[in-house]
Amino acid sequence: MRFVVIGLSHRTASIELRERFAHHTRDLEAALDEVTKLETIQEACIVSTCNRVEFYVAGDADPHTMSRSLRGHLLTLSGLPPAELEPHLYIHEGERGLHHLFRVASSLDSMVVGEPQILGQVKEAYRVATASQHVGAALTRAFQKAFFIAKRVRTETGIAENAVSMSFAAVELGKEIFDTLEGKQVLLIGAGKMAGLASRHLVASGVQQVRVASRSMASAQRLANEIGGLASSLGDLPILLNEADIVISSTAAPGYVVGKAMMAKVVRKRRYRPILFVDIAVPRDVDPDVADLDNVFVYDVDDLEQVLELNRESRAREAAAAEKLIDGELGGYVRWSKSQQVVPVIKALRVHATSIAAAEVQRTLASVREPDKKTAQSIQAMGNAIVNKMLHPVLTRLKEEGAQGDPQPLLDALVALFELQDAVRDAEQPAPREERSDNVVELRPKDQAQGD
Amino acid sequence: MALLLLKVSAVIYILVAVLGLVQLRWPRLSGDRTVIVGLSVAVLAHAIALGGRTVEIGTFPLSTLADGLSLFGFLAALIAIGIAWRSGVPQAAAFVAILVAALTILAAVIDPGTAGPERLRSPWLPVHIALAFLGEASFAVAGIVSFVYLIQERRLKQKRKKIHKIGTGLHKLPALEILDNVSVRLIQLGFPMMTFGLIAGAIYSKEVSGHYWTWGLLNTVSLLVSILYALLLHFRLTIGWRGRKAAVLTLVGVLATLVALVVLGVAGVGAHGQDYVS
Repeated sequence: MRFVVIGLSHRTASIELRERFAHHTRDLEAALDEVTKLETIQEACIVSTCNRVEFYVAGDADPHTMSRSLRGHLLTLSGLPPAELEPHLYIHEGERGLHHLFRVASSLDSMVVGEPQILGQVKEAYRVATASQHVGAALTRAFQKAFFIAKRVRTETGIAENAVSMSFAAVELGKEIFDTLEGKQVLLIGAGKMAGLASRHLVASGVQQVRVASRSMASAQRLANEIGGLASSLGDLPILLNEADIVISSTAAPGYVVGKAMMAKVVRKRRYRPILFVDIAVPRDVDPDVADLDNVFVYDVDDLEQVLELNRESRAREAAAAEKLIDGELGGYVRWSKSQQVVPVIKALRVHATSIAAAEVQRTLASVREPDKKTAQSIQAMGNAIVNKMLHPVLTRLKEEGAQGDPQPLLDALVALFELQDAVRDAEQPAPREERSDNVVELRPKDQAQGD
Repeated sequence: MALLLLKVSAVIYILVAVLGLVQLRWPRLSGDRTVIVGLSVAVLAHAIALGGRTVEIGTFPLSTLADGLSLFGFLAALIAIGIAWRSGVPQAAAFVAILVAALTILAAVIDPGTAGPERLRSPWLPVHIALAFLGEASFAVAGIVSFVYLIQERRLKQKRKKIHKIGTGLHKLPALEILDNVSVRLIQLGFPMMTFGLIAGAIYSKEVSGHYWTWGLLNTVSLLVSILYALLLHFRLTIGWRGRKAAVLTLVGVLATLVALVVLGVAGVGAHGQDYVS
């Protein structure tokens, strides 16, 4: 099984481009179906957040073939000519792909390095892909390992300590406009998880009142109860905007929720008192043209990145420690997974050889007239001895290559020569999940011993 | 002696302005209090210079353009110290220090002159000059604050990349609302001063020349600027003129006044040109 990642993130693509894919991956299961329908791809998991859209896939084919067909798929989705999309895509194959996954899950590739949401988002993506049976043994192993590493990074480095995600940027920007947030009114448009997180941070900074407007009154009420705010309906938006100083918007609406014409009226009504929009939705909720209005300040997720550039430096040190941790884990994991790679073939080869031997022993015994117990035993022993002696150097070599080099050519040759395809597939059947994660943990001390 | 001290204070104002701007641009170098300390030292020197000048001419130095500019600069410097203390960003006072430095240099360079001919003396003159310059100083600082407002507003609007052009730290300029409020308060403070200053000027003018009003450059500009600021205050309350628009207008008013003063200063004539001498 080979592993490939293809995607685009806040580092490589503008929000406009990300919006195209965010739209498509709204129905994640359908999107996963489409990907696994591609000829070379057997397993897939799609991580789609406001900052990234990434396809993690595994298959038996050559990584280049897989990434080629994925790239074609993404081009079809985007409806863009290759020249416009390809510069924004990144493709990581094999070990580099795993490295990328580990970094993403550990929040090292996040806009706010160390922010805690991304791990939850990756877990959710994995959960959906597992529940809809798009994930097999290869991705399960990789993702479980990624979650394990992310946990280590969070607990063993200081990376998460000063990251409070985008809400941090919202507060900083608010102070830049209003000096103090005390007595200010905050309006949340959309009652999602991000909105809740952001508002908690704002409340901690002293805002006077939080109002929650959502399409569903029930979810608005739920979040409002949680944070001690007031719930409203989206229909009251013009009135709510008139009163608000800071607006955090995070709906899943496909179009703009706050348009320029509406806002122009609101601005006159509020006598040009300054208002700050922090639009963390992708696709965006606030028409970018709204920013042309006097005393209206609009920041979307890309703009926030510029703001956050500032304290990135202080996190760089912790991030370096985290990178080192990931590299160590990756080395151990790759060695382990290579050695695992030869296991199905070894199993299949053994089954193949012993079944031939067993059949021949049976035939021989059938032709011997009334064999006594001792004769039967020695014939059996001979069969086993031939199998073992024949296989011993082959298996030793395979294990060595598995631990150190690249066993793939040998594996391919063996599978082809002995026609082991079906037997290998049977041997690869994933074991129950819990058992496997135990495996990973058990192997850890050994990994380290090998690694250092 | 007084002139020397005035020049010293001018040099310190320049240094403070440069230092403040450098600290805004490269915040790593900041020793936050230096701007306040520097301003205080300059203001002290300036105060002694004003005192010396008082001794020199035997009356509070208000009756010549050079003296007026010096006082104007002194008042603006006091306001700058206030801003440095209150805004949380002492370096922002550098913008005011630029203005103060310009005024003080001008005051030190042009001929200080004498108290003016006997026939032009009247108790209304110092009242007029003091009030008018207090008004001007408030307006001028309001203009500078509006200028900083425009920079800050630009920073916040042009969020991509350019945001850190001035001050790489987010907190290197005072918050937008503070700048807006300070500017309005200064106009509210300066407006009655200016009004009474104009009235005192008119009374003085009647005494020495027989006319309440002459359409000299400074008179005209001061009147127009006063009307502009009256409108500004009015529309702020009624239809919410604030932010960018208000800042631009404030700045326009201040620049007009300064240009008028500088033109008169460079021409080397009295505070109102030839208005009263002819």
